[in-house]
Amino acid sequence: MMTMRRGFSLAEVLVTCSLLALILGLLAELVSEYAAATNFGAAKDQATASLEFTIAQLRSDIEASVEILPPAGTQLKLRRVHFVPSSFIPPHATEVPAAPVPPIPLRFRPVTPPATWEPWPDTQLVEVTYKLEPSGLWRGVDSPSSSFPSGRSLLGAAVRGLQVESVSVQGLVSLRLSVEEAKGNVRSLNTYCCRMVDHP
Amino acid sequence: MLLAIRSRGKGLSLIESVVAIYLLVGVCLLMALLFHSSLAYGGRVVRMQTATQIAENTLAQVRAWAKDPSHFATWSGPYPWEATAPPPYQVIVAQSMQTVASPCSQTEKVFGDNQRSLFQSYRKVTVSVRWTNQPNDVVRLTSLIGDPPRGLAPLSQRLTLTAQSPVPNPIPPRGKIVFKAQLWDSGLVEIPDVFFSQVILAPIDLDPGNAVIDVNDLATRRTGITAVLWNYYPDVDGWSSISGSVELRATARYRGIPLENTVPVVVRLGP
Repeated sequence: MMTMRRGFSLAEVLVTCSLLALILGLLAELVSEYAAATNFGAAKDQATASLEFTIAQLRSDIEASVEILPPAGTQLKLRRVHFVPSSFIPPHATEVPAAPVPPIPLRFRPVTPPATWEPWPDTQLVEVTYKLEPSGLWRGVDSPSSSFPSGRSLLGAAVRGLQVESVSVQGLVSLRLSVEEAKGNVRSLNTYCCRMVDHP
Repeated sequence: MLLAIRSRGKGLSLIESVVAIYLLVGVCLLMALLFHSSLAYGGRVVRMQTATQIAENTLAQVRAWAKDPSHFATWSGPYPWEATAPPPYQVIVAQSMQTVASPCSQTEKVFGDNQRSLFQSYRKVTVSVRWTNQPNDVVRLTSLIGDPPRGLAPLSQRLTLTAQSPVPNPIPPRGKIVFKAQLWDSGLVEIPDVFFSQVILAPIDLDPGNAVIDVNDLATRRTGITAVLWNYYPDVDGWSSISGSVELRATARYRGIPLENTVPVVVRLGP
């Protein structure tokens, strides 16, 4: 009975195994390369996300800035507007007593606007400093008023370089940022941001 | 078939094995295609991110360039953002004047064709960054860019009020003169889209007359740029005209600062 059962011949087994080994080898190489590419892509995505967040914050600060202080190497310092909705109530406005019935929302007497005015008084400005340290790029806020938050936070841990290249008269700031995508792989990016607040 | 073969206690034939391997190869190829597709999409995302950065950089350059009033007004080259994108990216900047209702479209909606609008104060700028000729391989960024604030002309030339036709002296009864108010910048270029208020006063140091002023001019859409001075006034018996002088003044507000015409126009009215 056993002699009637026929499996692969040696040649068949060899051919089959070699074909299978070839395919598995190709597949293994493919998976390995794909895994490497995925890992690199993930690291790059993280670095890119960090860079985009940094650039978005930089843009926001520069666009709202009324003054960009002279650049000093890897440090960027500027004064920007800090909006506080309640501060828009003019200090010289007088509240009109609301009628008891029906309740009337808060109203103000019309006041004559002053002939000259300062839309961004010093009390509504904060000083923002970007500083590059070994741990990454830090953003510090120095506020003259206790109602505005002062402090310092790590903005981009992957950022390895910040260079203020130029600040034009029109308020165009040219920046060069470097970010570490993977170990030893540093990518540089030039970016422009434009001041949008016109300050006399 | 395999079950049937196994039930007979027989292994796979070479042909069967080759067919099975073909199937395996097909699946592997499919996987390879999926990997390739995944990497291609990853690459596309990177290109889109890069294109977005280029578009934002270009828009910042456009904003800075347009801060020069002459650049904003004429929008003629050379443009500083040209040829700054690295290959294969190609940057195209398109712009057009954008009309914006003032103070807002919601409040002006009731005025129909007579909406007060800003015609020359905003440009709609679209930055397109393309990396191939495929229709989907493009990133577009659109923004409104405003007319830059300007310095004002000296007081005597800042706010002018001029008659649009020769002014007879005196203006005959029921006669009319159209006056135009204009605001000028430090380069003596007219500042567009400024809204004016025009009023008539009876000067106390002259023989005071009486007249009416019509600022509801459809051609200028309630902007107060033009006003019609009529030599008559409403009387209890209807419309009358008396001789005397009236003074026409214009006021405007620019960048939050109220401006008054420092050179009032005095006209003589005939009875």
